Amino acid sequence: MTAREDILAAIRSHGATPRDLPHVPDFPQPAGNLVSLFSAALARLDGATVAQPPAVLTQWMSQAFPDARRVCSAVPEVTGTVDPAGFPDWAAPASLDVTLIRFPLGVAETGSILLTESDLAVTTAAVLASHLVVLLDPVPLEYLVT
Amino acid sequence: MTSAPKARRHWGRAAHIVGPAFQKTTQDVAEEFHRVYDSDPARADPVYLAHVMREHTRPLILAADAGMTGANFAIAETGAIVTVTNEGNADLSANVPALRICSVGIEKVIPGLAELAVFIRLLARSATGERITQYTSHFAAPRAGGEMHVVLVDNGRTERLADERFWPSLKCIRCTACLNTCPVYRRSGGLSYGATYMGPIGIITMPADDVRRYRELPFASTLNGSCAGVCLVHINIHEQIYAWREVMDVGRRVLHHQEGDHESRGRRAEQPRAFRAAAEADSTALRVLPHFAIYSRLNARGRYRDVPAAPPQTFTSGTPATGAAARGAGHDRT
Repeated sequence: MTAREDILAAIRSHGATPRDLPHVPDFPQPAGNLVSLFSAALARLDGATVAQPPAVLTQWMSQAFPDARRVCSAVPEVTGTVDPAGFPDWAAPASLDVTLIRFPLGVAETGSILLTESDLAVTTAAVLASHLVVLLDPVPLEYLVT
Repeated sequence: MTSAPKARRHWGRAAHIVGPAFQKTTQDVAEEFHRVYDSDPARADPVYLAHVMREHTRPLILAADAGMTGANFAIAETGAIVTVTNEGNADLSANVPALRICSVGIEKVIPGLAELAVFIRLLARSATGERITQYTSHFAAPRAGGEMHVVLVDNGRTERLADERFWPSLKCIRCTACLNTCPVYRRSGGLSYGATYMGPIGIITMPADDVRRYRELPFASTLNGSCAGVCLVHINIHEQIYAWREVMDVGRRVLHHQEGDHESRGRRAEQPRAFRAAAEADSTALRVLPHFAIYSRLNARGRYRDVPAAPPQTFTSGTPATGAAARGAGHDRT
């Protein structure tokens, strides 16, 4: 018998009373512009939003991070100095100065962004870099945490 | 009265579930980092200290072959393990090494993502006052080239699940709201509980782990119910504390000297004159006894902290001992 079967058998043998799951309500979404809500929530986490996309992203990058030498770009608009597909292991991105990536989803309530392995195979490139630049389309912004 | 050597001995023990060393000042941390990492003891700003810690601990994570984490939640719907952190320690430990091991208590399993959204909101807001923590990570499967192992831990939880008195304690999400509101915890601090989990939730969970070792914990409460009032998942904490006292009493697990102490205090409380005289004697003793007598081995209350100075005036000092005149004037509240 596996440990999991042991645990399940113990639960059954102890005769714990089954209980109905509580109903999870649909939380109301407040009125307001989702981009503004997202920006305000991100500011609470010490993050900054660039309201107007820069005309030339590479120029903005070099102005925002003038000392950056190791830039990992996972978007076609900018050519970085480090290939995101070339990391030999998950510790390799530790020396990155900046990672630039397009995220599929933002959460306006919390200022959070969603990163999955389908967007960045070595996800540590987004965590270990000194700076993270996110391209986020306003359309897929959601309000609620899901 | 905590001396530096004693303080060093207690760096390894947590004083709070969310902020294990939050009783320390930034200067305490600066001095400890200077001792351990040879950093600048005069620099006590959190940004510098965070950089010192990162410089010394990140290489350990980058070089690790395996990373082990706990879990805040395990989702039955997706099979994912969810960790909720601010420092990113669990995320780095789980993401950087090729081998990922998650140790999960079985009570962490929740039905699905809809329930997770509720718990994430409750946990972050109550634990740190944030809408969400810096990292909320889902680990659903091993990565290509990596391994992931989930260890489901029972360790007495199934027995507690079957106990009608104590099963609600399994609902705890470790938000620490009960600690933050508890008058006993706020006065005594977390180290005084001598346990992994402290405060009201520690009182009702630790005896289930080792009833003899933690037999005194249920008595570290005033049963005021504030903990149950703030509990996000509606655990009847104060009622469980009382139930644990019954367990200890029935099992005669109260220490002999503690039992005598309780009886003595009970008799004293029944006699106002004796109670007031004893209170006055205690106050006088604190003022006149020499240091070695107050901080002797017999006084556990002075083992890790200063014994508070006796206040110059108490509820009973300066009021008529009989209370007759005071009652007439409407001032006797004793």
